[in-house]
Amino acid sequence: MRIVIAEDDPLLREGLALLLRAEGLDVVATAGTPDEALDAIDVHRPDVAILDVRMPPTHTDEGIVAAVEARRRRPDLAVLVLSAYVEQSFATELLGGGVNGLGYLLKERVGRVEEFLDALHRVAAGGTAIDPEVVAQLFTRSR
Amino acid sequence: MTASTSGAGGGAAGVGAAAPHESVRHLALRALSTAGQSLAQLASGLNTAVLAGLLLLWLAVTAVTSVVGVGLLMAPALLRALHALAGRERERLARRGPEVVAPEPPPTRLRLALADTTTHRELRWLVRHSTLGLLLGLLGVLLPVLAVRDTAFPLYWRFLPANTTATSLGVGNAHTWADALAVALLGVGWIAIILGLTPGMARLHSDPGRRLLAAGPDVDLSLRVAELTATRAAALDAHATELRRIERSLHDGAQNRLVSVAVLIGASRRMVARDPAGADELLERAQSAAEQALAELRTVARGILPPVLADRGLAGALSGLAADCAVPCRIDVDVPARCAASVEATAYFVVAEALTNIAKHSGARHAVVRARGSGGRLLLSIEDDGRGGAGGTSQAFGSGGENGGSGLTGIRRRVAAHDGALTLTSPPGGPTVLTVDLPSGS
Repeated sequence: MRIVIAEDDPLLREGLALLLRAEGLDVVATAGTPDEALDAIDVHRPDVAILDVRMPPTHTDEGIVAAVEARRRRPDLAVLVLSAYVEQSFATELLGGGVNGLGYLLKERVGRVEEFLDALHRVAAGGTAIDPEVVAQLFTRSR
Repeated sequence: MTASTSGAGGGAAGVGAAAPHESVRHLALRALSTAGQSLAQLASGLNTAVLAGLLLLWLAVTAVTSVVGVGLLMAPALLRALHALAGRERERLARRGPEVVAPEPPPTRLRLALADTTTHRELRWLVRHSTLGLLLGLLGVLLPVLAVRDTAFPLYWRFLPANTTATSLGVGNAHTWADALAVALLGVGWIAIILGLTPGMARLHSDPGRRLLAAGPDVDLSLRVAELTATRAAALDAHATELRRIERSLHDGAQNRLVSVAVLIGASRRMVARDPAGADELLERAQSAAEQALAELRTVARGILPPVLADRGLAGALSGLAADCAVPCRIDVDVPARCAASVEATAYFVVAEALTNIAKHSGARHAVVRARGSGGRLLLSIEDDGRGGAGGTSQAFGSGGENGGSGLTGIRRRVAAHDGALTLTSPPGGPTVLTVDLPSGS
């Protein structure tokens, strides 16, 4: 599986790459800004793109915007978005354009390696992976 | 009603309502301090009263000579002087009580000024203050002198030449000890007058000022309101920026580090069976990431409220900064009362930033940090004998930017948020002086 990682914090970026390479997955490129990420996706044509929600310059929702744009260019690209906290509007914006091959996880979920790899494979295969925390919050709010 | 504890009765007349169970000692102390404050107020008012008297004379001269036309030339200057004196009185009253809101400055052109209500009120104040105010001020200075002179009379009457009048009232001669004691009794009477009447006198003294120099009910205060609204908006803005800065520091720094720790530990757990050496290396990286997270948290906490301020107070915290500074630095702190925590934190950051820049850019050999707390304000000044030229380029005082809250812009923002004032004087060649004036919020 070919993967592109977009994460502005260098330590976390290297940690993720290390983790995935140790599992035998092919991290073809890493990026620190949304533009670099989109370029890397265009050039390397990965199976999955892992994107952090907050990236420079405004550190608000660049990851979501980049994910939507990348899927517009290549609808069959699987995208896994990592967020530091649950933000319902992000989830809705992301999943609004179709749920296939989409994932929205809390960042620390990556530490639970088996669950993370499971989500990665599921998304790469065209499925959906939503963080249990996000689901809980969505259900609590709609009550 | 049961009798209260010892001494709550009698002798308290004229000092205001006594709370039940308040001892005589407390009453006496309260009376003394009120009297002391009133005397101080009367004495300070004497200054403006004398000036008011002089101005009144000038006014009379101008009025007389304007018949022949000469006075008309002097009138604008006179009115400007009147307004300046009124401003001084407002400041004096503000120092010793609630603020006196100034109306808008009156117009300067003679005809308009004479018709303006503010001028009329200021003229009425001038008449009152230069007559009654002067009298009361003189009494305020004179009464303690008389009291001391008469009460101490028995101590020195033997040394006076014969036939000098004994009392300060200018009557009577003292020939015996009984007479001397009678004079001392008169002195006690003066003291009683001071304790009883001076608060009322002080009120009478400042009343004309408070009534006539404040903006009248019909005066438009919209300019002042706009000013206060802008300051408040700036304060809220600065507050929001500060909160955002803290949130960013926490999120980008500590939180990401902790996520890295989780990721690295998860990865090493997967590896521990297959490749123990690799797993150990990942755990090593996890540990250093955790240590970085702790360092970030410490920095964030210090950026909000330095713990040293709570432990050792402003003087101790500033001494610590001076000791850490590479340039020899002298501290001169005279802040009798504690200020609001955010004000002390701002003062701390100002001094920290200033000393950092002195050490890095000024090439100074000596620096002085002064802090004075008086009249509800905290005044700081940081001086160095370096090469000057600071503040012009962003090199000397780094921009806020990512660090936010430090650098000259950050410091200016913090100071503005407290409605304070920051001035930086730094001519090329030095010396550089940074002064900050903050309300102490106490």
